[in-house]
Amino acid sequence: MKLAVGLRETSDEYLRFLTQLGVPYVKFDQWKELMSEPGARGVMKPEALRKLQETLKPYEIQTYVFLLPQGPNTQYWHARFGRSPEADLEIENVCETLRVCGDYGVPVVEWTWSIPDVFGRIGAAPVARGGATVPRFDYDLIKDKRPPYAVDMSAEQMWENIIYFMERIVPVAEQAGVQLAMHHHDPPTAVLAGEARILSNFAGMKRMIEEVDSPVNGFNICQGTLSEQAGVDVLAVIRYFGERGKINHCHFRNVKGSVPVYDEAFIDDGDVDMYEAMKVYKAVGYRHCFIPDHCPGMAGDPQRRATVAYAVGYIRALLHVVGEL
Amino acid sequence: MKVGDQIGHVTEEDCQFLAQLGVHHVRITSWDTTMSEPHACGVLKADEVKKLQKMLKPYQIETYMFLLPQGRDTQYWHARFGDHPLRDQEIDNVCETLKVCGDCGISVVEWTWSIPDVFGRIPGPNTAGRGGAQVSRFNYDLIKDKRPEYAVDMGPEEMWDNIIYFMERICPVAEQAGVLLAMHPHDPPTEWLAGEARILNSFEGMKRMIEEVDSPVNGFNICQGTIAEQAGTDVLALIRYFGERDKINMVHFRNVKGTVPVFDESFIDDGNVDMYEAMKVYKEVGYRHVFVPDHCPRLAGDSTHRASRAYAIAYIRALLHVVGEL
Repeated sequence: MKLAVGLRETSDEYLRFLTQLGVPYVKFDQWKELMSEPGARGVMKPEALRKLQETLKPYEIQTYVFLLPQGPNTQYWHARFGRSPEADLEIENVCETLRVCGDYGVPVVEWTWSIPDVFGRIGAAPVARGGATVPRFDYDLIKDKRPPYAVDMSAEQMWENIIYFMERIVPVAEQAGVQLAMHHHDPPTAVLAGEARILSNFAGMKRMIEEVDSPVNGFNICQGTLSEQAGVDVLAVIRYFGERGKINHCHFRNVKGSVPVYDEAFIDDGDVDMYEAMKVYKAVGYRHCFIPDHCPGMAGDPQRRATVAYAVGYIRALLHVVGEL
Repeated sequence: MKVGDQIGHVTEEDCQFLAQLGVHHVRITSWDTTMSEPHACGVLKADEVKKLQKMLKPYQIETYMFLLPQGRDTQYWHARFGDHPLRDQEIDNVCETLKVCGDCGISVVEWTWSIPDVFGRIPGPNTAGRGGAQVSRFNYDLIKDKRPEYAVDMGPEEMWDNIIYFMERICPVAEQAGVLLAMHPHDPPTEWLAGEARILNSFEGMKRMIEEVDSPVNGFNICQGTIAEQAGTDVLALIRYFGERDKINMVHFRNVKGTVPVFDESFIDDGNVDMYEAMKVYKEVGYRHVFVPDHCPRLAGDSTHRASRAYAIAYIRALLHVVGEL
C-alpha cells in the first residue's frame, strides 16, 4: 500500500516538499507537456514522459498513476458519444498511450467516462471544520442545468458505449502491463445533465467489472464519491472489489452527506471512519496508492501546502498503524 | 487525551487555522504582554490572559497550558543560581503566577530548570532531515568546551538543593491554585552542559525529582524527543512508569534521530521512536492531557510553518483516533 499525491508542479521546491513529506509516488496529468496534440489530445509522447520521470528521479519520486485526459474535446471525448470514425481514432490514441505507459513503467492508468463529468458543484464555501472552504453539491440547485455540450443519454446507450471502449482498451492494457482504474461517476446521481449515471452505485460498478472480465479492469475507488452514494455501505463496497483485486487506485478522501446534498470535508471529519476503511484495504491486500483529494482550503494557505500536508500526515499515520509504512 | 499546539501572539487567521486543524487546546506564552514587568519578569497578568482567551473563544480554543518564562534574566532566573538575593522574590512571583493561572482556568504550568538551558544546537546538514528538510543537530563534541557567558559551574547536589527549594515552595501553591506542574526535563540530556550538572537528564533523575517533592501536582512535560535523546533510555518504559503514577501533565509529542552525543530533530514519523507504540502506552496509563507537536522540521516553501504543523497535528490526530480518543 503506497502513499502518493497528485503532482501539481515540478519545481524544485515543490518536489522537495513532497520528498520531505515522504511521498514516493505521484498521480500525474500534465497533459500540456505530455500529449502530442494541443487540447490534451493525441497520444502520450514517450520522450515527454521520460523527461518527466527524469525530473522526478533525483527526488526518488515515481510516476505511478496517469490520468487520461478528461474534459470537453480532449483525447477520447467523442468516444463517449457513441460509435464514429473519430471515436475509433481516439480509442486508438488511448491504446497507444497505454502502450507508452507500459513501456515506461507506469503501473496504473486512470480514466473517466462522462460527458457532463464532475458537474454541478457549487463554489467553495466555508462550511468545513473551522470554516475551511470546500465545494458543495446540491442536486436541486442544478438538476435542470446542463453544460452546453451535454446530451441526453440513456443507461443502455451509456453501457453500450462504455463496453465498446473497454473491449478495445482492456486487451491493450493487459498486453502493455498496465492496470486500469476507472473513476466512477461523481456526483453519483442517477441522472446528471441528461446523462444516465451508470457508474453511480454498487450495482453499476459490479456490472462494469462483469461486462468486461479482465484482471486489469478495475477502479479508482474514489472513496469520497462512494460515500456520496445514497444508501451505500462504503466498507462493504471496498471489501467486495478489493477481494476481487479490482481496486487499482484510491482517492482517500471523505465527505459529509450524500446525494442529493453533500460537502467535501477534511479527511478525518467526514462520514467514513478512515481507520476502519484502511483496515479493509489492508485486509483485502490492496497494493497500490492512496492519494489525498479535494483537500479543504485552509486559512493563510494559498498554495495549499498545509492542507495537503495534513492529509498526507493522516494517511501516513494510518498506513503505519496497519503495518504498511 | 487531546491534540494541541503551542502559540504566541495570534491573529484571527492563526486562530482559524487552528480550528481547521481541529486544535482546541493550546499552550500560551506571549510574555512581552502577559507578564507584569519587562523582559518576561514579574507576575502573569490576569487581564492579559483573559484578553487572549476572549480572542480564542469563538474558535473554541482553550488556554490549557502556560509556559513560565525561560531564559536569561527572566522571571525566576536568579532562583536557579541558589541562595541569591532575588531568589525569594522571584519565587513569590512564580507563586502569584500560579494563582493567576488557576483563577483563569489554565490547567497546566510548564517550567524549566537550567542556566545554559537548551544550549548547543546547530543547524543540521541538509542531508539530515528527510528530503533535506531543515532540522537542527546536537553534537556534544562541538560544544563541550563552550558555554554561554552567564553559565556557572554547578554540581549535582547543588542543583538538587536549588530545585528542591523551588519545588517545595511552588508545589503547595499549585495545589491550592488547582494547577498541575509540568517540568521539562533537561534538553540536551547530557551529563554536563556548560558547567551544569544535568540532573534531569535520565530516568533516575526524573524519578528522584518526583520522590523528593511528593505531590499530586508535581509532574512532567514528557518531552518525548528529549527522552529519546537520552542514551540508553527505554522511552516507552519511562512513559509507562510516570504515566502509571499520574506524573505526566503535558507531552511534547516529537521525535529525534540518534541520542546524546549526536542527534538530529526529525519528522514525527521519522525518528527513533514508533509514535504509535508510544500513543498506545499513553492510552494504557490513562494520560488525560494534551499532546503538542514540537520542533517540527520546516518543509520546503513553508514560510509560515503551517504545513509543517499541519503534518504533525494530522499524524497525532490519526493516532488519537486509532486509540479511540478522537
